Amino acid sequence: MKSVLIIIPAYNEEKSILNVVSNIKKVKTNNYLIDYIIINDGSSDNTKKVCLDNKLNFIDLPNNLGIGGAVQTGYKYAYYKNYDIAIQIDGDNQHNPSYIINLCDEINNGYDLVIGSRFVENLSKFKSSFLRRVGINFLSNLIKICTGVKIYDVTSGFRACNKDIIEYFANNYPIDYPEPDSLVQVLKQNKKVKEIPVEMNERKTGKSSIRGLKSIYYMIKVSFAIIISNITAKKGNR
Amino acid sequence: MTSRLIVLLIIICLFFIIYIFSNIFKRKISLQFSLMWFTYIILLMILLISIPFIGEISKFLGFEVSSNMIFFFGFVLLIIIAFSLSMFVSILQDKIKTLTQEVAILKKELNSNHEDN
Repeated sequence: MKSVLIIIPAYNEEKSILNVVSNIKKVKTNNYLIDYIIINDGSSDNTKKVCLDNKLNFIDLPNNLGIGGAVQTGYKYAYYKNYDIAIQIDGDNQHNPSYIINLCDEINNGYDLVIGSRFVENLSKFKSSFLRRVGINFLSNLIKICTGVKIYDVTSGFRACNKDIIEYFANNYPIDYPEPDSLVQVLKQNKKVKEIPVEMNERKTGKSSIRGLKSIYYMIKVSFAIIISNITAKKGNR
Repeated sequence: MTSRLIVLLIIICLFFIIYIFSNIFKRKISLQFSLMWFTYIILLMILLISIPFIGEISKFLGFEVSSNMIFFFGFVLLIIIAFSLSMFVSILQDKIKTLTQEVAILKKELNSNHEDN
């Protein structure tokens, strides 16, 4: 039976974190041993108190590291504890945990990284704004040019990976806006990546962290990171 | 460049050297970084003192006034220092990230051991 660790990065998620965990606990399976770990990324609200009061399994970061640093802590934990599969899921209830099994099954089928995607089939009630879709489409095409692989939902934070990638991510993971960049690094190593359709909910609490001027900075930074990763990875292979 | 300006700039440099030393004694700056600034000031002072002799060189390089050459080199060296500081900060940022993660994981292990006992 394979052991699975679900990594839940949480920055100021006091309202939703309990819900996320209870939804994960509802997932029933006989094929996998499912654990979860919350990474409290130096929240300024009561996230830590909620975790303590409800005896949730959590790691408390003394500083705020940003989403990448928080998720990487989860991968390090998974690596030290020798988990077979690690899954990252957002702490704000956007992702439906019942798809965890689908992700794990694809890892079992021999894929190294499996992405829960909003765009492969239209299961989602999730409506992105027009500009956001244009942005994601641009990054998707940039990654296609760099790696030759077409991935549609390159910014999805709902992903599963096997032991090899856990070890890689434990040692190499970008600090902020990590998803597209880390995806390129994995693709460059000729790992097998698969995208499967999942249902995503509209955000119930909180707002997207990427808005306004930040989104321009996001696009420039991520595009730059993808190109840099593309060049350095090439050197590594030769 | 008048000799009055040269003397003024050299005096400023000397004051800066004293300031660096006082901070070394108070252990507010590491030797590694103070050496970087000493090198900067000494290079600048050498240029200042040699002003009367390098008028031809600065003309040859295309500076209309030799004081401009001093300021130009001072500016270039400052950019090198500022960039190297950005590099140091990036390395520190990465080290702090790793430390934070390891401390948090250790803290978790400690707490779970307490609960077991």
